Amino acid sequence: MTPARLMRYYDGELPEVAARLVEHELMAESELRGELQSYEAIGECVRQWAEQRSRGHDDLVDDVMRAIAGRPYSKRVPRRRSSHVLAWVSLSLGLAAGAALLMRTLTIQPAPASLVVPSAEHGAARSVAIESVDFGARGGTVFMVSTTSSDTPVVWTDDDDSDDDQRNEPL
Amino acid sequence: MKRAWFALCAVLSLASRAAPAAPVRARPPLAPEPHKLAAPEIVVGAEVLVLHATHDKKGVDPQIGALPELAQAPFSSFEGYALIERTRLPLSKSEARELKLPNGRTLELRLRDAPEKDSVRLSASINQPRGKDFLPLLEVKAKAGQAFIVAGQSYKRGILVLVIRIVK
Repeated sequence: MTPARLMRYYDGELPEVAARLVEHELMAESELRGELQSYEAIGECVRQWAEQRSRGHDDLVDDVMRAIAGRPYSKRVPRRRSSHVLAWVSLSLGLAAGAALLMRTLTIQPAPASLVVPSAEHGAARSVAIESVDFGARGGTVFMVSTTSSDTPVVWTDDDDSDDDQRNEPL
Repeated sequence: MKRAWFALCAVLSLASRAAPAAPVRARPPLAPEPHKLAAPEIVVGAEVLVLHATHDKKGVDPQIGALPELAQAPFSSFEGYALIERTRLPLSKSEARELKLPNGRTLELRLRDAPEKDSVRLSASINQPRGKDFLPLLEVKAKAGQAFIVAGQSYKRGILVLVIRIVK
């Protein structure tokens, strides 16, 4: 699975069936679960940092509005130094985690768009061998559906084109 | 002295033009090499089923026939399967075969080679009308009777499921 596909799952952007396929893979692969947890950690850091930033922004807006109105400062809550520290620590952690994840991505998956599927060995006698798949800019996955009589490889492409339905509706 | 040189050059020039050209032998036509003789065309085809999977509780269209894969996850999460088209495309190495899909895209199949006596290698791709490739390339090796599925394209509140089976 490509990091882009996992990120789309984390962001809730995958179609329902594709999201279920990702969940199947998450159940099977602990390494993938770890990767998802790192996304969650990064997301939490960024969220906290954004909250701190927005609080600071609110203070600034209050100050400007009061200055425009010609009123003296009142009930201004001084910004604590610790909030700055927390924001910078969160940002640093987020950047460090992102860099670590990027390094892992670059070392483990050199060609995310082109997936070579090792199904040539798997059930070669019973099924079609998928030798290579290029999903292009879209995501997708390859898996096997097994029945009593055969193993059938399935190439599942992500398709979130919202205009497809409109294109095919009668005018 | 100059005149003599001029006359000598003129004589030599005329002599070279008047000399008969060296006979040019016509190259005999190349005999076809044994290994480059036209190989017998591989006779193979692909049966393509275009199914529309939806959450309408209509069950599986009986025209589809026996397809036990539809009872397995993730296909089992759809409650209605309708057969849109069943067609058979003859495959050849010299020409790609195209099938227009109901969502406006085009499925293209091409026979690549026959790596073994009873198996073929073919490529499939799905292109969009506006030029972008939806599925740029899929290469498979299959025997007659074996099938693979390409699914996931959204279409009318459901998805398209393409079942591609190699036939002789």
